[in-house]
Amino acid sequence: MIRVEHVSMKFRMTNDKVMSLKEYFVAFLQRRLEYKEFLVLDDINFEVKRGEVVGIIGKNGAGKSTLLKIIAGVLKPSIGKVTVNGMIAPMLELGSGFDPELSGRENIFLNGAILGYSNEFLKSKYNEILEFSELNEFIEMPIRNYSSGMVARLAFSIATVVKPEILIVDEVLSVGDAGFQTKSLNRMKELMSGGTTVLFVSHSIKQIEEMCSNVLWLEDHKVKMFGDAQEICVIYKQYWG
Amino acid sequence: MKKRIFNIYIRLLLIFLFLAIVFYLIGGEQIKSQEEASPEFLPDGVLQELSEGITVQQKFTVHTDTLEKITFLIGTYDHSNRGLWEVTLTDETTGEELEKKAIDTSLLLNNTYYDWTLEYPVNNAKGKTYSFLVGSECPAGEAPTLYYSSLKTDSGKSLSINGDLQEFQLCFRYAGEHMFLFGKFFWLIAIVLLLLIVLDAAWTIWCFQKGKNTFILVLMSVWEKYHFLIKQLVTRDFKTKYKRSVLGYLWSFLNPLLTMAVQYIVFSTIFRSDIKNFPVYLLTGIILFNFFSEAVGQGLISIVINSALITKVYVPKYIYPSTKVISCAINLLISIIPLLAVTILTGTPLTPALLLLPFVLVCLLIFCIGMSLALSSAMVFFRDTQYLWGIASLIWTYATPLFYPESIIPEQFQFILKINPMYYFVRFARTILIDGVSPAPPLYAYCLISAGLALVIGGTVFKKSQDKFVLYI
Repeated sequence: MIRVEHVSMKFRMTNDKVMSLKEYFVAFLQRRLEYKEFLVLDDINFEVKRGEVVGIIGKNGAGKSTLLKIIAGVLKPSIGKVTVNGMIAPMLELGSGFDPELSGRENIFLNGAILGYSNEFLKSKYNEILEFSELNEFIEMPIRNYSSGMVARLAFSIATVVKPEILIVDEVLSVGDAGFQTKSLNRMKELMSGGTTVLFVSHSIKQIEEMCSNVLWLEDHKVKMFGDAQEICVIYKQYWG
Repeated sequence: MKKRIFNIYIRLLLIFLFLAIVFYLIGGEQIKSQEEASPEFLPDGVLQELSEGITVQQKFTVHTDTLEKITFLIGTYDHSNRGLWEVTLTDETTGEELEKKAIDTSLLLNNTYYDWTLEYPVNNAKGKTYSFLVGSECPAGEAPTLYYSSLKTDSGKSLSINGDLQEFQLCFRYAGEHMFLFGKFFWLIAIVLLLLIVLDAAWTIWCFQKGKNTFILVLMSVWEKYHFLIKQLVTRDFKTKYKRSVLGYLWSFLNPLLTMAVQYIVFSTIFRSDIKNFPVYLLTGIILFNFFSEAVGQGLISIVINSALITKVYVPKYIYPSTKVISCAINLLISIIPLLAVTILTGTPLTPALLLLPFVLVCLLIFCIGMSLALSSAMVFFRDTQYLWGIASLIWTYATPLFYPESIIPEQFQFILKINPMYYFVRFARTILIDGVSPAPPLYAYCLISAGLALVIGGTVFKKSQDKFVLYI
């Protein structure tokens, strides 16, 4: 389903972040443009099979988000190859694909299109999305009038109601009020048991233990461990005392 | 799938044939030839009285493809004249007398140009030397004369009176048709293009069976996968553009009209007399240029403002700038309505040439997409691009004859027009609307080349840099 082979990611960082043309030219003329190679991912190898739920853990800056971006196809690795079979639904940050001026209904279609769903598909799933988001009559209102909880509920509904083949979740599970949180957690579990492959980044080791079958532990830009969730979580907890 | 490829090519062929025929009908004479005259010589004085026994011979080399008319400036000393002049046109290389005409001098007026329109226009005249001979049967004291100009021709001494070579030349000019190869070989070119489409169809089907990709196949799969997204992004821009304004879409009409009104009031006293139908002249420029600067201005920031999406979801990145330009184009189409209304109201009839307007709009659209691709990738690395573009588009506005006539640009700065694609687009649209005819073939070529070049350069820049976008936004 997902195969990651010898993936390395190098960033070239200038010593100071040069943003403007003038600064760039000045730096260029003074030969001050020195690059520092920065290895974010170093020879990563692993494989995820259909229906597996893989948690990715590690310190801040270990390269978790970069790895997800490479799998989602938005970043090209410097070295190595990623093979993905199936459609990926990234869980967008709270409504980043939304337009505040459009109504909830229009945003369902806009966001769905960005996630790669077809018009017919979204039409057939529209009622399901509406029902799950609990927005009712607010769906015809422009999104700028929504509360942040409402936006989050809509975003979550669109991303999950359509049952993607691969779902990428980057720490966005704590949305909405307590009621919706339980509902969304149940929805995630339902997806996971229903054959959707899930890549799941979280700092909550409890959530990982509870939901994942496998765990990938990144440490210092390398794979420290990859295997059964329960085993690794025990070691991970010991490691951090 | 193979059937679909087949269908697309059949449709492409039919559309091409239809366009070729329509184009041939609308293009009319303009795509075949263009009337051209030799430069004018200012009069500096008159020759002696051309009475009986005096012959004047002026040699000249023709630069047009045909020779149809000879014009010369008459002086009568303001007295009445009597008798005939005999003018003769001779081919200098063969010595053959081509045409003769008798002119009744009593009908000639002082200080007027006399047009001798040849009864049998000379074909294949280009590069050849002819001589124009005036013989006279007028009695002395009652004969008119001709003006001369002290400007020299490129071929040196060319005027002789009774066989004596003179330092100056006649105040005279010729006119003829300049033939375009494009018009001459129109159907041949059309058939070659048709064959190319057929060949491409065969190639694509062959590649498809071998599992290789061609341009059309890639285009088809992108369209299949992303047409819904493109449609959604365009409708989004369109819906939100005037969302919170009271007048809404009315602004697409009002904006160009109000700009035109202001410019008309400000500039009409200075330029109006030089320009045919000044309101339409202004409005065409305003609408096309506004579209250009708005589309590029929006396309340029499209990658940066969609950074949240680009870092999360894979979508071909060129979709963002392209859809921005397309949504601006819808706005452009709405603005065409007031343009046509003003054209009719100012008394300029709409002609079938109007059907050529989509050509220039498509070229402009492609040009804007190319510019947006290049600038939006520059914007990712240098945020200054946005502000530089603000200045650049201002300079561009003044460098394009939007509210002033082309003729006020001095000779040494004419190159600014020649390298300015917007000038070609605007001129194309003006020729269609104001003159009601198709522009000459070179203008088509300039429009196509500008659009194609922009797309190729923009596309290359974008393709080369797009993998690095995620690291910088």
